[in-house]
Amino acid sequence: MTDSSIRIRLIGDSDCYEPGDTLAGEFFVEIDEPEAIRVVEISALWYTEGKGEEDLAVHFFERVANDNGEFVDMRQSQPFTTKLPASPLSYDGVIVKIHWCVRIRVFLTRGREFSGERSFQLGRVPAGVAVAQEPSPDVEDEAGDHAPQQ
Amino acid sequence: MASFGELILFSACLLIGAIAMSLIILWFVVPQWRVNRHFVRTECQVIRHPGMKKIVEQDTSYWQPTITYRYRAKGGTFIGRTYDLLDSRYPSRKKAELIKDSYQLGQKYPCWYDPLDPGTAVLFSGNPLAYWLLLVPVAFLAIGVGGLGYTLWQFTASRERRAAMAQSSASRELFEDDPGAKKFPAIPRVEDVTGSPGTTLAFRLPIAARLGWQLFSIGVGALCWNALVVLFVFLAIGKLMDGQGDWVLLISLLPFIGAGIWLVVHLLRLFWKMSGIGPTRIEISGHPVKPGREYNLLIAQTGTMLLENLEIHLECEEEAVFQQGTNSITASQVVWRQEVFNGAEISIDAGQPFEQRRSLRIPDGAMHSFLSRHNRISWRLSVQAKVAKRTDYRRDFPLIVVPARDRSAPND
Repeated sequence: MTDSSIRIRLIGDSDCYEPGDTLAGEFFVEIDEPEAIRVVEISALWYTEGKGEEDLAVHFFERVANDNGEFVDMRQSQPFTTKLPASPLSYDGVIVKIHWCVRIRVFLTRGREFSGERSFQLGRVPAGVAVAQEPSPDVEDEAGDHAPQQ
Repeated sequence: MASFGELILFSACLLIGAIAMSLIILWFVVPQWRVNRHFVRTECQVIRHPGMKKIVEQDTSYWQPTITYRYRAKGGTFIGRTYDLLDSRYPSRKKAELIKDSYQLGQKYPCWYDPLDPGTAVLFSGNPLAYWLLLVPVAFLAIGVGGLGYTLWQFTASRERRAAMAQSSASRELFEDDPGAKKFPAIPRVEDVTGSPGTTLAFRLPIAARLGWQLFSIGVGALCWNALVVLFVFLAIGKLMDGQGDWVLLISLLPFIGAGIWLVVHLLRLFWKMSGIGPTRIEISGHPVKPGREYNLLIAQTGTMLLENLEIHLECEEEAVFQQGTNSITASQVVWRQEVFNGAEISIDAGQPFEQRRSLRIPDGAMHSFLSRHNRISWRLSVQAKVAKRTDYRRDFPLIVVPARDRSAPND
């Protein structure tokens, strides 16, 4: 088995969606031995990027198993669809960035796996621009440090 | 992500639990079970005065009743000295004495002997300790099996699957109480800032922190410090009165007394600086707020002071938490600042608070509030004031901004 890959196609005029839109698409796996595919996971998710640790949340998740007696030939087009949530919107900030993508993860027999993803944008938020901090000497700051907590 | 350290820890728990379980079963549970199930009941006679034996093990004394009895089994006569099969000894002498006193020389009592080895007999068959001992390895096994299972699952399950399952279990509890969390995922709870109605407008914005805490913590610190110093001063004076004056102690206390006085002076100075600065109140006509929409604001400042300058800004700040070695560091960056109010030489009297009405408009297309475990985007109204002859202050009032367009909701 050589050069296995995943092709993901989103149905729509562009890769930009609005909250509440339906995200629809299809994928297929280019592989010589389709029987070697044990499980395929389809996720629509957002993750953060930037200065902080990466956070990730899955909006849509589906697991298609090939080991339950029903063989699915992943070389054929596999559709997926989900209604996008109201938030969080895609954002290209200075130290916090939020990305949305469809990620397909393929698990093969003997513990091997590979994945592919297709990014898309949720909403049309302009990129963040750093604002210079105003000096405020001798100010008693009443706002304590509050680290992000969920 | 699970670490190899967790894997080793839970494996060790499992191993310790398994070994301890095997040994306890072999040494205690099986013999006790045999006493209960297979030993034959008969009658014995105490043939010596019951006594007590003191056993010292690792500097700890234990007491054991010594009872000698005679019994007949399988056509023979045997002498027994075992009270129970675990050969129990007690740290309390009273407990051992109670057992000893319950047996009298020449009296007859029931006993149980092993039909496979009639020379083995006990006076007490119901010791439940052996079964209770099982709780220790069971706890280790539970931690080991549970932890190892979870760790192995973390190693084998994809990050997306783990996230989906964690969200699913969290959302079952959360969404029942908070429909907003489902409507606007990854946005802070709106209920936290809309719980307080305003007197003039719909909502009163909460303040991010209270200045009083600073005063309180300095006050507690000054109290504890001076209480300790006073204790030592009394000790030194007491010795002096008894004619045993410890001048070294008295002199070494001087810098501590000085620090105590400085703390009290600092506390009083801070109290005076803060006195007269009343609370700031901001009310808003709608909350949460949406980009592109306009809201009415009421800004009120009470107290008795002269504000050299008062500035109120709408700010958006990004915050990111990251690990640097063992430290967790928070980085922040303001990405939007817009002036809402700017005034100078504002005189405020006790009976006449300063009030201003303003309109607030979150810019079109602005990013909404966002909250995840390590990242946050927050909006706030930041109040900064320079006060004549008193301490300057800054107070933040968080705002929740939600996306303007939400086609996922039926009625927006």
